This record gives sequence, structure tokens and C-alpha cells, in this order.
Amino acid sequence: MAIIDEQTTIEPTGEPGRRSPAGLVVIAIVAVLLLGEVGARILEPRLPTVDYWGSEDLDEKAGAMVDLQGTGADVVFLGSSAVNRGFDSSLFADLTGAPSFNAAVDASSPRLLEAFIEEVVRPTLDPKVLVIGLTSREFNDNALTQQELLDRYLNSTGRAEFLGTASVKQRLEGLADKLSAFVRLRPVLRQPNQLIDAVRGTNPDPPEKTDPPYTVDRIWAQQMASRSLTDYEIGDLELGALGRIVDALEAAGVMVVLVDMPVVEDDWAKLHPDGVANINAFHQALAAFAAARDVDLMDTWEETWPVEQFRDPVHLNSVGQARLTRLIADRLTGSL
Amino acid sequence: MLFNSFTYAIFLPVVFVLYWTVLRKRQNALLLVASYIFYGAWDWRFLGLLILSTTVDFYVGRALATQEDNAARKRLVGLSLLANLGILGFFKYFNFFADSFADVMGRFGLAPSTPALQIILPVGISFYTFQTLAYTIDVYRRKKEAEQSLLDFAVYVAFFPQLVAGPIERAQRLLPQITTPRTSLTYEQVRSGSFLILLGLVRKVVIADSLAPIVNETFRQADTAGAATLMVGIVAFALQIYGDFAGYSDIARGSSRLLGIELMENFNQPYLSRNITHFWRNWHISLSTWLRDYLYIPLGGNRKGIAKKYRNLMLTMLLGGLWHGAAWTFVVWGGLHGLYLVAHRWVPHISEKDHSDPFEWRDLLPAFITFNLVNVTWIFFRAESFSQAFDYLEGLVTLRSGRLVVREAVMLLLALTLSMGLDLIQRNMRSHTALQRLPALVRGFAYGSMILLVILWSGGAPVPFIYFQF
Repeated sequence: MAIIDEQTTIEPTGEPGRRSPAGLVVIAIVAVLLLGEVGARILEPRLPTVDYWGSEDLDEKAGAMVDLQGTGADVVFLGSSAVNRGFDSSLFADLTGAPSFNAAVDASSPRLLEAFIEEVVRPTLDPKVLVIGLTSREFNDNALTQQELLDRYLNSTGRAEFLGTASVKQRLEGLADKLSAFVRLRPVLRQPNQLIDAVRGTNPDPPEKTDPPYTVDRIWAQQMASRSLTDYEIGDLELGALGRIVDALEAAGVMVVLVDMPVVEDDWAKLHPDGVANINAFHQALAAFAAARDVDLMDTWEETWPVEQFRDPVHLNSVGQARLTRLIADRLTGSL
Repeated sequence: MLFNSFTYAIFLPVVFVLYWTVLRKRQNALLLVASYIFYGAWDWRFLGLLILSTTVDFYVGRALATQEDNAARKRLVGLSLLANLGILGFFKYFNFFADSFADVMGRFGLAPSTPALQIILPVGISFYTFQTLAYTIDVYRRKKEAEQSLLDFAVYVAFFPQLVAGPIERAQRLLPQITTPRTSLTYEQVRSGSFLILLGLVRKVVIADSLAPIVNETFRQADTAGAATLMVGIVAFALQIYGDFAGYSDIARGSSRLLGIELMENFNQPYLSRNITHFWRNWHISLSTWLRDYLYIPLGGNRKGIAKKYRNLMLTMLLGGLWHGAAWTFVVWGGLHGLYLVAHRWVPHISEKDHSDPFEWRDLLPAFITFNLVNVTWIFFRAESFSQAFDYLEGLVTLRSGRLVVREAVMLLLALTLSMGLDLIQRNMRSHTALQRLPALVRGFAYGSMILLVILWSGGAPVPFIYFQF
């Protein structure tokens, strides 16, 4: 039989090898490690920041909220990237006089928000009103990107240290992060493209100065369809989490406003597996949820949203953002 | 407990220190406790199965040693087979056969009510079951004396470095090492054992884990991804599963060597094989030799004519496929390898060069062809269903158009270079620890680079080894 015509060879114990001065080996090992460390320190200013809370966006939001601890915010916006792009908290504060903060996290889901609100948002900002904007992907129980972000957040060093639940391993990693740039920058150094950009001195994310024109980027659309909207199914996973969020907030005396976020036709026509049927299912589920729990629901679909107010099928541009911010400000004025 | 976890990084040094110092005279007792902790850390409830398997085979072995009556001896070995294969059959294959039965009946318009049980597959069950079975069969065949110490036998079954994913050791090799006290530890053992652990971590953490997201994403999009992406995905999986399993074996051998016990080599640069026969001599060696000795040869081997030889070969490979997992895709994987092996018998052998000879330029083409033949079988091995496997194959065969993510191709190229580079060094220097023979300065730079790579790819939750699920 072919698989076993010969006996396995067994390597002798302790293959003698050529003995060399151990000191020289150790020196060479240390030299390589130092080289790695020095290289990382040189490249550090050119590299993107490393996720401490699970994503760049979580880092930014959680960091800002920790800084605001004590000051707080009366109104907090929560949701995914649609909310990030949809509400301007400075404009809202100007319009209403109520301090506000946009704590939305790109690619978040109700399950992530459930943990994030209880663990970070309420302890730091102590809001009176929470505005939760939702799009159809947040109700998909099979969304992959959202699941990955949730896992990353739950396992993040930032969360563990903030909650005081860091394991020995996380504390040691935290210490190593502080001491070594190479250890700290591991996640970005692993990415060949980011490394090449850093060596070349290219800024991977140049800041935007003006609104980009409306586009449906093919790669973005493919990612959205195959990861956030894949096997679209509204079940109890995300809806259940939204229910627990509402219960907890109402029990704590925090007012909740749900917003059915505006999107344009390309969203259901090009991204959703079952097109308009998925969008309709989402609207019905959200409306039924709000009615069953007697939660305030702002349905932006009662208005017309032209593509000129969007940068892509789900994200508003600055014009659309200002419009939506005014709408919610009008809606909440009496309640603040 | 995973080899690539922080817990194991604490566990192994603690065991090592206790083993060679205060508990030097109680080494096997320590090994047994450590092994049960290691296994129980995953799910303590399944320790019962391990202990049951150990107890049955220990007492069956002892009874076989004193029993001369052939019929009684057959009954005893039958009891061991029933217990071990019964446990394996229930925990691993019950739902598979129940579902398959229901599926076949459904095709005839019948809808039998088959029970669907929520059965958790105990980790490592396929490995330790085969190891204990081999012991009983060898005692039955009078190739091995029955072990008289329950403690030593329990260590043989549960020895933590190889408990959950092999190598599947034979009693003739491992038991004498366990029954003989390990009185001294040499510098060479520490040096080469530590090196094997580092090498295993490079294969697992740097190669296998870095490719896992590419593989997962590609297979998930088997029906839409372009041919170039699919090609990247399947080569990535070939390297992932090799890095994962060979990495595990290296860490197992290194850990064991630190405890003064030698485990067999389980992989010998299989992707440098010039043909499929060579591949199987060097891929998961402990399983292929097990299948030879306890399945292929008892079926008649190559002694009963050419037709039966090929039948036996096919049966062995089909069952070898099923051993990996309770799914028909694994059976097809084994069947394809069986067909390759049969076909290879028909092809005139161009070169009778020994597999362990250094790899040369002229070996490149046959190795490339063999590698790609193996890759076709990996599609069935990795796919979650036949439809996914056929979607994948269709995309490749029809050269489906689609965008290739350059980053993924670059990652694959880096992993391929590292994996093949390590294998070439090992092959051409004829040793798994070949790097240790390099001049001190070069060796130091090689170790430093390996440590740097492991640090680079570490962090976050450790990724479980693929073969744990088998």
C-alpha cells in the first residue's frame, strides 16, 4: 500500500548539531528583537493607530466619552455608521442648547450597543435622552461584520481595563503595549499594505475636505452585501438585544427615541439579498417593536431623501446630516 | 487548553519544573494529573470517557496476557473494540448516520423519525481511541506485553502533549519510555525541545492563523468569488491546515522532549513530495501507519491479488477520510486520495529517488503537480457541503471572473515563502531541527526572527487547532 511502505523515521533525541557559543546566539536574538523595536518606533508616526477598544471608531468614541466623564451629555446618539454620518451633535447642541454627543460606532449592532451603553455610555455621559438610529443591517442576525466587531469589543483590552476586569494575560499585554512599540503596533504591522504605506510615507487615510459625490463603490457594496447583509434574517438575536436596551434605559429613567434611518433605493436594490422584501421586513419589525413597547419612533421615510443628500446608499453627506439633525432637534425640543 | 494559549505558556513551565525537581520521583503521577487538568480544562465531563477507555483497555490487556483460549481472547478484543468504537461511533457518527439514513429513506418517499441528538464531540476522541485500540490489538497479536501498571498505562493514553491531536503513538514506542524513569535532562533536549516549540508556534500562529481569515472568506464566497481568489483560497487552506497540524505536532514533540519523552515525527515536508505516494508517506504519518497496520493489512493488504489490493487501498482511504469527520465530504476527500494512489500505481515511475533525498530543481514540476492534485482534495475537506465544494470547483474550472484582493495574495506569498522555506531547509539538511546546525550568529538571527514573527502574530484569543475537531 502506497501510504505506508516504509517505517517512519524517528529523529534521535537531542540531535548533537554543531555547538556554538550560546552567548553569540543570545546576542543575535537580542539584536533582531531590538531591530524590530527600533523599526516599529521609527514607523509609528506614519502608521494608523491601533485599536484599543476593538476598532478605530470605538477607540475614538470611548476615549472621548472617558474625557467627558463628569461633564456628561444630555442627548446621546447611538447606532452604526449611518448614525455617525447622520447626526451632527454640535449642530444639535446649537439648535437645542442641550449638550449632546454622537457615540455611534461603525458596524455596530444592537448587541454591541447593549453592552456599550451599559458599560461605557451611561457611566460616562449619564444621558437623559438616547437616540438610537437603525438601518436594516442592524436587525440581521447573520451579519458577519457586526458579529466580529462585537467579539473584538468584548475581548478588547480597553474594555477590560475600563471595567477593571482585565485578566492577568490582558494586564501583561497592556504592560507590554506600554513598553514596546513593536508589541503595541502588532495589528497594523501585520498588514503588508499598511506597512508599505508607512515605509513610503503615504498617509493611508487622508482627511476629507469636502463632501464626496454620491457613489456606490463596487468593493464596498460587495463587502456590505456579503458580510453585513448576508443571509438576511430578522430573528430574536438583535431584536432581543434592542428590547433589553429599551427595558434597561426605561428602568433607569432615560428617554429612548428610535429613528428609522433614511437610505436610498440602491441600498435595497443593489445590496440586500432579497431586495425590497428585506427592507419591508425591517420596517415592519421596527414599527411593530416600537408599537409593542410604546417607544417613540421617528420614521424618516415619511419624507423624501434625494441621492444628492447622500454620499452612498446608506450614509448622508453634510447636507443630509444637517437636515436630519434639524428633524431630530425639532422632535426633541419639547422633551429637553 | 490550547498550545498557543497564555495558559499553556504557564502550564508547561510549571509542569516542567515540578517534573524535574520536587516530583522527580513521582513523574508519572504528575504527568497523569497534569494530563487530566490539560484535558479537563476543555470540558471536565469528558474525562469520564477517557478514564473509561483507559480502564477497559488496561484490564482487557491484562486479561489477554493470561488468557490462552483463542475464543476467549477474541471475545476480549471484541469487548475493547465495542467499547472504543462504540464511544467513538456514538459521539462522532451517531447524527451523521441517522441523518444519512433519513436522507436515503426520504429519497424513497419514506420519512422515518430519526432522533436528532445534541451531541458534543469530545476533543481528541479519535486520537486516543485509536491509540488505546492499537495497544489492545497488539497485545492480542502478542506483539506487545500487557502493561501491569494502571498508572503508567493511564499516562500512555492521556499524555498531554499528544492527547488531543496526536501523534497517535504505539505502545511499543511510548510505553517503555513512560515505564522507565527519566532521570536526567540533557542540554540538547532542552535546546531542541524549545526549538521545536518555537517552530510549531511559527507554523501555527504565523502561517496557519494568518491565512485563516482568507480561507474562511474565500470558502464563504465559493459561489461568487473569481478564479484567482479561489486559487489563493485553496493554496491558503493547504498551507493553513499543514501549518496548523504540523505546528501542533512540533509543539507536542517539543513539549514531550522537555519531559524526556520522544514522540514520533508526524510530518516530513509533505508538500515537497514528488508524487502522491510520497505525500502519504509524509502527511500525518502516525495515522497512515495506523491505518496500514490495523486496517489495510488485516483487510489482506497487497497479498491477495491486484484487484483486492486496490479495493483494500480504496477502503482504507475512504475510512481514513471518515475518521476525519462525520460528513460525506471527508469520505470523498479520502476517496480521491485513494483514486490518486491507485492511479499512481499505473503510472510508470520516472524516479525512484528516495523521499528524504535533498530537493532539487528537477523535483519542482512533479512536486507542483502533486501539490495541486492534493489541493483539489482539500476543497472537499474544507467545504461545509457538496454544493459549496462544487461551487468552488466550478469557479476554478470555468475561470470565473472576479477581483483578486492584492493584500490576500501578498499574505499568501509571504506565508508560502516561509512555509516552503522552512521545509526546504529541513529537507535539504535532513532534520526537523536543521536550523540548530547553522553557525551561531545565523542561528541567533533565525531564532530572533522567528520570535519576532510569533510576537507579531500573537495577541487576542488563541485560535483553536483544526484537528481538535477530529
